[in-house]
Amino acid sequence: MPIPNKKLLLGVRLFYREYTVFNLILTLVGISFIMTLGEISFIYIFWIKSLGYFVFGALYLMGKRKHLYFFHNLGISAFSLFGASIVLDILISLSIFIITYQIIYH
Amino acid sequence: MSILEADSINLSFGPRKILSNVYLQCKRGDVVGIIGRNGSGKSSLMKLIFGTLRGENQSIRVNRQYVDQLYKKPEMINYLPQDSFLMNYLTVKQVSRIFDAEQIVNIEILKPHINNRIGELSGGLKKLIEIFTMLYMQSKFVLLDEPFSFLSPVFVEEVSTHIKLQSRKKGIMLTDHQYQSVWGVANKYYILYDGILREIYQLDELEQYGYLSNKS
Repeated sequence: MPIPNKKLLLGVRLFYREYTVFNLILTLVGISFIMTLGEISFIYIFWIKSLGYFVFGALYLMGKRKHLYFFHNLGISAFSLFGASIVLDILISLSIFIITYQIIYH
Repeated sequence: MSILEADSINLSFGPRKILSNVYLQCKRGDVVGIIGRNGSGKSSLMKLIFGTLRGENQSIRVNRQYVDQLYKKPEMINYLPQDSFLMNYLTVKQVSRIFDAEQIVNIEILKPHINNRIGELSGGLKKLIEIFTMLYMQSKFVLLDEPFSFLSPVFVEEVSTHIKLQSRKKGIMLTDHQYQSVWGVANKYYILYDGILREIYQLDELEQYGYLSNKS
């Protein structure tokens, strides 16, 4: 039986909360890049975000690995959790950056 | 009736053999107690059964059917790790809902703390909530890794009562350093010694396998 989507969504929501502050900082950095560099900033944002995911993943596995059992007990693997959270974050961040770009340059 | 079998489990960390050809079975109504020295591989065995650790080879079967990464079926199994795994910002009530273990809010000893956040509770209470949540989830099997550690005698008694109660509905495997607590609650006993799992029937066998000294 596949994991009930409700549980995965709940897991992602709780996991996402774990790195809200970290994410907010990266988003603000991204916005400042858009404000100063314009269109080209998206390349930098892509790399900053990618590095951010890597750093967060490493920090989480080092410091909060035990919390993974919270998600495992809901039937969610680390791969699904990280994967779904990154997809969600890309959607949210991209929306924020595009809206910011539209407001400033159009 | 559901039967959980862990078969042909072999695990090494580098040159060190941790588990050697382990076979273990658990049915509804069983409370399987696994005793062993520090570093004997008890937790590794639990993680292998749960599916979050891979050995050199292992076959985990439920009702004779091979299952890979059993934890992906939370209706089948859940696992209490040694370290606290609940987020501090959640309340006890929220935890009970997230894990479909609402019954725990009716447990007398937890009632005064239902609306408290996990982070506000003492280490013992936190552990108690984790144990009860795992015991009352709607799964067929539960693995408890050192449930009695850091618990006061009153809490140990309370946990033992609930383990016995829930064993009517599910199969339970537990490990602990406090062999006295395990001995009181389980109905099948095993010792992990030199990577080999042996069934034991009497306490004096613990001496034979070097778990207890001859003086005790």
